[in-house]
Amino acid sequence: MPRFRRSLHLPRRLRGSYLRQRILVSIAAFFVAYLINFILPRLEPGNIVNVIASSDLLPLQRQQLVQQLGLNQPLWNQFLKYLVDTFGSFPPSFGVSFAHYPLTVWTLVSTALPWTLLLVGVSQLIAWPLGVLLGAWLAWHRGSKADNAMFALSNVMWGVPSYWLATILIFIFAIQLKIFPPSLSTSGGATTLSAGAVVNILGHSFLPILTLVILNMPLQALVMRNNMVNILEEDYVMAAKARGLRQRTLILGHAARNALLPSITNLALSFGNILSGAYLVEIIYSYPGMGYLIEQSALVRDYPVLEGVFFVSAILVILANLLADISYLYLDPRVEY
Amino acid sequence: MADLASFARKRLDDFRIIVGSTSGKVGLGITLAFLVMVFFAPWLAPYPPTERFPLAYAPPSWAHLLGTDDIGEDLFSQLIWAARGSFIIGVFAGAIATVIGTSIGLISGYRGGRTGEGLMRFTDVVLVLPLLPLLIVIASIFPANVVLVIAVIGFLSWPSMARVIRSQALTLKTRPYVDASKLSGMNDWEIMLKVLLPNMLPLVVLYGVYAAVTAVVIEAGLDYIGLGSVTNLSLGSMLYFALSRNALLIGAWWWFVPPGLLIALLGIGFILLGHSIERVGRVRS
Repeated sequence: MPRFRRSLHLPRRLRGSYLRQRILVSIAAFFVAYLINFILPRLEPGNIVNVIASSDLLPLQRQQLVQQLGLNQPLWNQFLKYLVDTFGSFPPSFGVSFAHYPLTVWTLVSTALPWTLLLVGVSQLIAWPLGVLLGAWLAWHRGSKADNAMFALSNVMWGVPSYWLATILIFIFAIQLKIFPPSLSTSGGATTLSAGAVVNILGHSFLPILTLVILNMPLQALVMRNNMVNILEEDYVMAAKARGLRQRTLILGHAARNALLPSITNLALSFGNILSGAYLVEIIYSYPGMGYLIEQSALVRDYPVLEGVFFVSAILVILANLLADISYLYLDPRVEY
Repeated sequence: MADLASFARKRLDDFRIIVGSTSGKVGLGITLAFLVMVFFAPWLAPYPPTERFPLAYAPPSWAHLLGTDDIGEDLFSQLIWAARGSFIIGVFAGAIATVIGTSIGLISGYRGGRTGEGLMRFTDVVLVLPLLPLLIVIASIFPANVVLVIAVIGFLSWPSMARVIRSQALTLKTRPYVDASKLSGMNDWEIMLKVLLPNMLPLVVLYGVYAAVTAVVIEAGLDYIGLGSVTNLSLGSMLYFALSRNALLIGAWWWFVPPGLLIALLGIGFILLGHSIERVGRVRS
């Protein structure tokens, strides 16, 4: 009886081709995102010039700007320049921001990224264990009133918009009760790492994190519960039951252990949704992560930054999915590809 | 005639199964209520949504069930029109995703081989394109346009559905009745559309419903952060106006609470109905 289905019945020879295929798909996705980035703004080329060149620019200045941006060159040359801009240096600069001239896109993105990762990381570190515990408990009591109620609740959470929940929490805790600050990640320029700065950052991150935990926890619980219920119906669990193992041993020793890792995989697979939710929450709280950056750039039509954030978001989602696919290899012998 | 009668009897049985469970009743009720709002908004809304009364930020009362906004417009009437807008957006985007996801899943699963593999790798690529950032980029490049937003959401949210439908097609095509249909001279397309599709319809509905709910939430989010089209009244643009016109600071909860509740209500209604339709499929098979 397998206690831990870690390796797989996939022949070694096929494992390599599966890995190769997943990596190729990731590279293809990376290039599709890259091409989208290049093509989209150039479908409306007039816009770019109108946006950056304010009306009080002299025609000559306007022309210089167009030349400087290379927008008067043939598409092919623009693409070459685009390639050089992206891969010519490391870290890639992704060009220069229009709104924060002369800062590069990379400077802006690499300042915003840690905030987003902090928000997503901490909220998942709280939501995932709680969800797993709740899911295991629900699987134990499957079919009970609590189980049904949780199923309903997690479906309600699917429809509750993150941005609206964020608004309600701001209204209650920041405006009515004045417990937490309504926006920004720090106040008073707390940049040095001291106890005060940490408290400051935590105070400002509390509401955004709470929003994401409330939204994600029930979904994690449902995934864990369904995984466990499926495992409890499998033959080897039945056999263990027939041998007279106690429910407690069955749940904790077999089902929970085997359901835990697929639930991590599921976390990686739903990373795109988690990121979207976090971006919207950041925007509502003016929390200086990637979501806030892309929204602020959209309002002033700062195309290079918009593209940079989209591209880095795509890379994050692609990597998360690749990790999930690779982890499948070691978890589920019935992997289908 | 006999065919029609047996068809009607079957549908009636399905309906009984749906209404037989609490979740089915609730889901059907909520969905019907939204349909009523979609078709009868002009008669349901007590006032035209842009008619101004000399009452700014009035709290809920019998004359104005959900109070008024900063320029004295009736918020209950606005809410009905906004719900109608969001519902239509969700249904269209969900329908686009459903048609693409089902077609690609069916063809890939039933035909298999190189075609199937190619379609699945294409699905994998679309699956990892982040929808919200892409929508924000598109919204800032092109003039605000709700049809464009619906199209982008629809054309990007089908991949997970295609995967599920494909694995279902892989299972169903080994069933004896598929071989029987082949022997009776049906071609591949006929088998896919007339034999496989009807058998997986409940699953199609379930995943279509999730796609529609996601579309409503994402589109309203785009409107809320001010990147949607303001001329199109949706639950998101109602939230946008509430926030930009200080409803939060004034404490006008009747302005920003109902739109979000309605999005959540639409979601739970659709999902419960979807799950009870899917249960009909399981009961029948």
